[in-house]
Amino acid sequence: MNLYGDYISTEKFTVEELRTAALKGRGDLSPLLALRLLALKDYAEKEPDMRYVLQSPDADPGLRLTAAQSLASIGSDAARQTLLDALDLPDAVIVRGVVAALARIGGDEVLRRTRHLAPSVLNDTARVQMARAAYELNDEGFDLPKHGELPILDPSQFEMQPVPSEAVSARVFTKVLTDLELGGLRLNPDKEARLKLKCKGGDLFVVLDKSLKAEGVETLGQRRRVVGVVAEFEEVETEQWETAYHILTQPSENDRLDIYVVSEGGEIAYAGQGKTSGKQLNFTIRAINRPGAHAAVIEGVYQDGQIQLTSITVSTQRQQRRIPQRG
Amino acid sequence: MLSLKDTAACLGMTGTISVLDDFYGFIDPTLPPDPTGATVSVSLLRELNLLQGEYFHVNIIRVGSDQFTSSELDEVDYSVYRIRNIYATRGIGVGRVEHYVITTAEANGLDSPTKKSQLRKLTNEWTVPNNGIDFFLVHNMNIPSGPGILLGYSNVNGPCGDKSPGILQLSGSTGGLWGSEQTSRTAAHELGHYMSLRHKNKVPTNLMCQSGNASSIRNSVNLTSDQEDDVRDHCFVTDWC
Repeated sequence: MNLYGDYISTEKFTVEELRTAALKGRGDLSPLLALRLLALKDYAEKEPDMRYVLQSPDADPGLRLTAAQSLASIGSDAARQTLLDALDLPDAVIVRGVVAALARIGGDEVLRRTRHLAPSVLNDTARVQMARAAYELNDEGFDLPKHGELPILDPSQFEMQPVPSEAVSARVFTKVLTDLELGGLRLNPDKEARLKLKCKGGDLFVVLDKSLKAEGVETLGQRRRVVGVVAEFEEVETEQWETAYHILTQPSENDRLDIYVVSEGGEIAYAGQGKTSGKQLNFTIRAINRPGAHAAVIEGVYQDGQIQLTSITVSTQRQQRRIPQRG
Repeated sequence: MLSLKDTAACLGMTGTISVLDDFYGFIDPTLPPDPTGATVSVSLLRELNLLQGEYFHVNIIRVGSDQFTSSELDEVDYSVYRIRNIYATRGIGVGRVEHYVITTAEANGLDSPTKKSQLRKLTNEWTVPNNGIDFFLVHNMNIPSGPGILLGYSNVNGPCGDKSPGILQLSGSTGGLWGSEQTSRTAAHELGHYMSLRHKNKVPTNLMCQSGNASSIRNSVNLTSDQEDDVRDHCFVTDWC
């Protein structure tokens, strides 16, 4: 079973065609589609265009959310300031989108301005997205729940099966990194610590930050960190890898550390604990109990820049899923 | 030919049946506007004839449902109208069209996905336990991919039964809101994927040509006899009536 998508390229349109459709509502494309394509173009007036749309109270919310995401991609000081100013907008849906956009930018000022936002804006997913930014800087706040407080999915309820992992050639690793860097990868990848998991329907790729090897695993017990990412490859046609999860750690009790695998969307998908012994880190990670989840148990060892998964098992069945209301 | 009442009963509809909302599956029980202003019409006789042959059911799940405006609900209804018309050209009917909602609060951020993995999570977290294809219509889908954006995403030859595929696969089809013409073509295109069709990017008039390569968003909706055969072989395509 493969995954395919309908797709449209921005190369088919000029900037002026897209601006006319997006900002003036004229042309064959809907303003929303035009703005989303325009956001992928590089042109001089892009930041002011996106600022104008985000700040337009009468604009469609979808347009304003697109503008917020585009400003995060631009990432300039002016774009960041526009997003920070938008935290004071009255529409909670827009502000939630702005918070998600700011989480992509990160930085001290973003963390300071978002730390005390109301729970209606800073919901669970936004908090996890911000946690990633805070853990990158070892900044205070946005604490993730301790390992013992998380609802781990009990694997004993399921039939489990092994998942193979394999070493990866330098050529494939280069392709992964190229794709991830296009998507705004914010770590310094360690080219030696690379590992691929063969899952049903696609591959997962673990990429660790170089600092882990340089500073040694013993430093994990001293501060919060973002130690790596998990990329996934699923679409056969574009053949691109994208970042699916970030791996966060924080010190815990008794020389242990808590490990979180959080999704780009702001969800803790997997969590576990590790224990360091000299230069070696032994860890176990399990899936969080949520609708539709597969139970998983991942055990491994990291030492001197080498990661080895000693056992990976995943349930053959999913946890019960949610049923939407008729409407 | 079965009567409307008998056909509706065969599809699992009970009680008083309204033709436009229960039978055709429109949210608003009036005909949706065509974006070009052309007249929209439906034929009950054609639908009843099609349902004597093979057909599939669809569950349209609006994600971020409280954000849908009335014009966006028209976009949903126009998609239902177009899906019926496109598959009717190959003699394949659309049976039940049921509508479901996931509110913005329930979606917990998945109403605004920016990554393909979020679409996968959406379809794997939610499902309608029936024999219809789950089509998730996502309010704020904005997923850059290469030099463009993803309009919809689906398995090729999606699962039946409990609609639970592998860990990195989707349990349903997905699409965003892009304006009536594009939304409806993408919805029909993604359902085609679910029913085992692959891309035909060298045939710009075909439904399975990606929209970026299609000669016309409105008119590039053809299906070949081979594609028809593939659809008819899918496990969710049935001829019960």
